[in-house]
Amino acid sequence: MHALIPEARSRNLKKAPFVEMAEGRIQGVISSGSDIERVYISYFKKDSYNYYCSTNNNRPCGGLRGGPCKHLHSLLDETVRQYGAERVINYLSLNLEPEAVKKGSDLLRYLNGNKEKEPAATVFSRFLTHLRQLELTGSNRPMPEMNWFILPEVMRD
Amino acid sequence: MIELPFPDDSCVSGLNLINGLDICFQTGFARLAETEKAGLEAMVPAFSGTPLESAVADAVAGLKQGRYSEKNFAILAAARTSLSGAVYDALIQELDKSFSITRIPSYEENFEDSPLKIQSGVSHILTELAVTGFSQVSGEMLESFHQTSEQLSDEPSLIRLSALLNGFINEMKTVSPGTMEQIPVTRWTDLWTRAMIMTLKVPKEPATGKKSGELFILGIDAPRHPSFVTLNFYGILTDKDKSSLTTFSLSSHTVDSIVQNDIWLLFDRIPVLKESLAKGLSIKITDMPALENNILLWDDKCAKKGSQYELFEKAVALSDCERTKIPASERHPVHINELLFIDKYLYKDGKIFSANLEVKVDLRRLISFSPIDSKTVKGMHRAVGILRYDSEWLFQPLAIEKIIKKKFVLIHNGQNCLDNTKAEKKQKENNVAILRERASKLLRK
Repeated sequence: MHALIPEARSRNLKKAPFVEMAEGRIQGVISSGSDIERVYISYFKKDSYNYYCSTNNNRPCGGLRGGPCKHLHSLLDETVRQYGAERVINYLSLNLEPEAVKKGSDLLRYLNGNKEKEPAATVFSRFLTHLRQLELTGSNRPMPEMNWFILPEVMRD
Repeated sequence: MIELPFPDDSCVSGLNLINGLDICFQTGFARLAETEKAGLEAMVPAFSGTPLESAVADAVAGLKQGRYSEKNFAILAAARTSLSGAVYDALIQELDKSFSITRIPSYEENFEDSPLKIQSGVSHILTELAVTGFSQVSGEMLESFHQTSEQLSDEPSLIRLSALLNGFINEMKTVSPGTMEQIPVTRWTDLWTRAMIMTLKVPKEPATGKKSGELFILGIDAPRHPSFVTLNFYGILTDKDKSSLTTFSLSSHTVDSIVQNDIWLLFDRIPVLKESLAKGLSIKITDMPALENNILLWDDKCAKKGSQYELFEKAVALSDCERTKIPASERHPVHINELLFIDKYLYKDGKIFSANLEVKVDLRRLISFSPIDSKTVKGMHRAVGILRYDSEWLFQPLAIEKIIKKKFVLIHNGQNCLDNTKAEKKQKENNVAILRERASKLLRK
């Protein structure tokens, strides 16, 4: 028996409450710096490195003129913080040494994609599903099936 | 010396049958080569003369002819479960002899006969996975299970199936599309099998009673996967003159970004338990709900802080405590978890050597909120931990004593549970509060 998924690394979730490598993208939800009610949905596609950023109401991010905006910078920073450089580099099929990546936005120079608009809805809906997890009721009853789930490595600060 | 048991010849043939069957799950029942079909066919003679004889014969014949019904797969799951159950029985029987353990019966399991609609949705998913084969499952297929998974998490009586299924699907997402070498076939078929069995009936809540006494916690274990975490507490409950090995569990749904000490923030209704754990205090419980035979259903309102105690002094009582059998439907080697106190030993080359036991240390079950890590275990002197079996015997330390600067220092998994207290109050550092605040703005619009 072995378990495949290392635990994520610790990071503060205020700036980017949700990041994931899924659906062929590095995608996530980034908090607006200025408006507490607003969030941005940002992503990079793993094959083309094309990117986009918009609010959850599909209004494009003003910072996208001429290249990835600050939300996309944060997305990369926080994704590497959570999963570690190696997993992100592998997902993006980049030929880099993990040690060379000090923070996620360092990867930007290798991601030579273009702006490519796709609707924000699926990522936003995945974010809501994610949040819903913490609204579900737990249990004080025996949970023996969890005996199967161990971590192959534990990251600590 | 205590002889730790190894699978005897009949166990080995059971394990070989399981291996042959599992290859079919890896390849996919719709794509079996002739040699692989042999693994499926071997189940028929193996079950002749048993109550499953005709069901297994029919299911195998059906699958060979392309009848990929949920019923046929459910029968395979039942057959495979009985094989791993037999291995469990053999190992436990020998283990109990070696350690002179007496076991009292488990609490009585109860089930509703008819499954809920969502359980049939789950067995449909499992059937699709078996027909496709674990090595061929695509990311798209796994994503398509999302809705069923979400509906399942809304059904509180099926929380165990939800925890299991989500952990299983998460793992497949990490590997898929998988290469043969990366797939842990036995493990995934174990998870698949257990999930399939759990789709057949709805568990009913077993009878509860009440327990009182003074509880001395000896250790905690905390298995988790990205969306679920369980804290398993082991302790000794003394009531008048009687001491019993007593356990309880607390579980929470979670997300992958909640790690290390943040995990304790998910459990915010156990102030007495946490404070006692952090300060090494016993816990006085009064009329705490409990299942039969030493399983508490923790209710912090029934608990009061007690007084300081010496963990290893209390652990001595373990050797006189009765152990409990596990529920019959759960019998599988993964559930072997004997709490042991090991007094005075040497640690060398990944193993511990005591006066009467030699066993490998299991470093895979480390917990990210625990101060015990692969370096800590090296200087161990006394320990309380769990003896487990995973193709070999392993000892998972839960609480250890080390000599640091000529002093005895106790280090246990739960001792940092209050470290987040400041964060708990300061919202901007409390990751659970941050996400819940987002949920309150976005989910309830």
